[in-house]
Amino acid sequence: MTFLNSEKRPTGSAMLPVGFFISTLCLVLVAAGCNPDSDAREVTFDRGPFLENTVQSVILPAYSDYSSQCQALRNASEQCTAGQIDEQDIVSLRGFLRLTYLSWQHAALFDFGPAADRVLYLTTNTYPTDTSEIVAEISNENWTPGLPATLNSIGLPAMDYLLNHASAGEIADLMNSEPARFAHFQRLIDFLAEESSAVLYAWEHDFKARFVSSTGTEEGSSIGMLLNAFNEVYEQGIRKQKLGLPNGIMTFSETPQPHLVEAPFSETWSVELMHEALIGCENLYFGDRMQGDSQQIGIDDYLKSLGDFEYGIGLHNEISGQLSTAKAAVLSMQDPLGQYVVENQSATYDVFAELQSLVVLWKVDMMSSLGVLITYQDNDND
Amino acid sequence: MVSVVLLITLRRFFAALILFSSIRFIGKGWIETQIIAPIWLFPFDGFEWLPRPNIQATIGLFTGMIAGGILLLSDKMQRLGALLFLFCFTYIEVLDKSNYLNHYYFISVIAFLFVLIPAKSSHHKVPKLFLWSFKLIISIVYFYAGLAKLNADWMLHAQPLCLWLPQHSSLPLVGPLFQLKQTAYVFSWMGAAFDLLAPFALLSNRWRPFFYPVLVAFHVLTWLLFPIGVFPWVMIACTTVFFRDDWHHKFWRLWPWPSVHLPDADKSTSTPPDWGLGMKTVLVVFLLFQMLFPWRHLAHGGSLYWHEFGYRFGWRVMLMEKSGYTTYFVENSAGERQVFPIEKFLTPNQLKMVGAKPDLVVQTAHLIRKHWKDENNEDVKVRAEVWATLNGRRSQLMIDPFVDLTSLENDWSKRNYVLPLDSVIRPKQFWQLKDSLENAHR
Repeated sequence: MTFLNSEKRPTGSAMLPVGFFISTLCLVLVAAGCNPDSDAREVTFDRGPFLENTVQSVILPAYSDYSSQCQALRNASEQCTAGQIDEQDIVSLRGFLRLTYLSWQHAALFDFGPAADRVLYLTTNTYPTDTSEIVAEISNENWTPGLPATLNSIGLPAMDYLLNHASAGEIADLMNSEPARFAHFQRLIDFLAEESSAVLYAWEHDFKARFVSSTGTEEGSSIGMLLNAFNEVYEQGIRKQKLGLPNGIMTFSETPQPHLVEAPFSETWSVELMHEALIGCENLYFGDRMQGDSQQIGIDDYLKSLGDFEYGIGLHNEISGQLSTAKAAVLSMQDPLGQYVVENQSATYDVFAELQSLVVLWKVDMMSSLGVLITYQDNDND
Repeated sequence: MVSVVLLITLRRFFAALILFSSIRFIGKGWIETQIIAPIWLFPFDGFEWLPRPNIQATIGLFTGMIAGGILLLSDKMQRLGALLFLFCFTYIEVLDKSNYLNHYYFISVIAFLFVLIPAKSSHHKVPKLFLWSFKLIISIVYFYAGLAKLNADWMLHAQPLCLWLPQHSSLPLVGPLFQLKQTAYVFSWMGAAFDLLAPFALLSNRWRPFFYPVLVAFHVLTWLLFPIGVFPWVMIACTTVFFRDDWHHKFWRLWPWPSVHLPDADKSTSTPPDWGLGMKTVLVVFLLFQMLFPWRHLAHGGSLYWHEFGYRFGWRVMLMEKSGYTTYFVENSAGERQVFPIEKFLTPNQLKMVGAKPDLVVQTAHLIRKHWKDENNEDVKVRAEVWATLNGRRSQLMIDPFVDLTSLENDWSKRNYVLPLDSVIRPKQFWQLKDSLENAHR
């Protein structure tokens, strides 16, 4: 504390101003905290419990359900006797595939950590799938799933093709006359089942603890990874891929591209899958799988904890309302979606606007309110 | 004439900090993420011609910074060192607006002063103007930062602190306090008072000993709470230039090496060199420029935070929580439109900045036009739909979505393409009305 001597004052006074400053600050804060007029609606929010709940109530159930659905589909395929597959087998497999597809919509949102390490997002659901490549790979004994070159011919879209591109009877006949085709289907589901259980295992055994303990808001923090992945999957994977590309809104010619819808061969799942994806977003936002407002700690509680302001409760109300509107808008469309985007293109533009509204609310307003850093870089000017 | 010792301390502290800062930049891997990896850069207006350095040249520039910092530490070639550092550092800074930081600019300004002003121990005494140049610049930084806080968002709504402080609610003990609105108000008002008072308290012999500990506490607090980099340490170190001579003597005598001890000006018999009118004139003009340049935004009406005309280089620090979401549309000669996948061309930080800064939106449009021409040999118009949020306001349209941004230049003209702040149209309403609005526009 040499610099104080320059003023020829006793050194002891050095701590006085600091002490005065700090105690004034504390007094003001305590007084403010005790103010009976302070906003009674303020809710406390702690990121630790938020992360804990998000893992326990949203992420782990999503992965565990998806992994079980993959397993159920694999079991169902193993029940079938190669060479003696009948129409009923195919109908049953289709039922399991649909459930797996629906379940995936929830797990898809967490494209970071173990999922990113295994490229789960791309290996599970890259579409449109390349049907001629699938056919070529049926007879390839050295086929290795998961390599970059195979992304266009594996995962759920490949199974949609193999099970749905013709009537159940015709598919059964094909599988019987060409045993490699059924074997390839089994290789596809084996791969998905293994990948899904590997990601679930990684979350349960190692990543969960790390995720819950990183309570900061810097880039690479849990909340940062979670929300950046969520925004990315919602904007690119849901809004754009599931609707924006098929309905042509993003191209010069605005020509609808029916083959770009999700699960095009099923002809009846696309809208349902889009709707389910929104339910997945809703679960993450509200912090549980009850599909609505709840006592569980979610992102909604963080916004509510900011108080009755445009950026707090006001924003929450708008997000919550827009989620309902967007879900209803999606359900207003009809399968087959490929046909619908051609015949009712302008109606799908309105649905797209509802989905786009959520991009702005989540990516701009919500991220701004949460103050999650998107990059690890100094920033002093805004 | 005054003793040179104050300048010597400042020079040594400053040199040490720029060395640390340069090494920190390298250590954080920012050479790769900020200079090499980005596909596009956003040079400052007037510096578009500057060649973009490759990895070797960048390493060269950083080597130059470090060599310059070491020379600046020395007593002999310090002005050459300052010049070398200033050149290399500023070269990197002007490459990309999206990395602009006030404290980078501060470092360039101080380095420039050290190019002009010698701070050698052999000089013993220097003109008062030399010392006051540094004191004035530091005073401007605080005082202008304080003036910038005197606005409704900061004072009346405690923004952006109402959004930033609750992020620290998980801290032990004090965490819950950060969730209180009252805390944000206390911090806002005390921050403004601190900045406005700082120059006067530092200049006053009576108040300085009380104020300096507050200053240290303040800067350490900002360092703890915000991603503000080395700025707090730069200010804590540089404000020692306000201390008296004897503090500086005592401080350096604490070190065991006699070579760092300061010369005793009073015992000096040498006559100080004549500094010449030319250099003093440059110095005075530079200081006048520093005082006036931050006010250029007054030439533009509307909200400074929204149009950001004259926002940079004005010591506006930590005033905005602003980010935006931008969709670019390219339009061909047939009038057909297509979304441009901008996310494939920009880094996350650039995307954030481009969503928030109107001049970057214009610059991006030009880059898109050029890219399109190169790839498809077709001239396109570029428009942008920018939804931006500022200090807790709900997101709103920032840029006229119907204007061809490639027809605009980033010059000193009024930014008429920036829509007024507090327009109320919501995204969905806009998309419903878009076609009719566009027809009305044509």
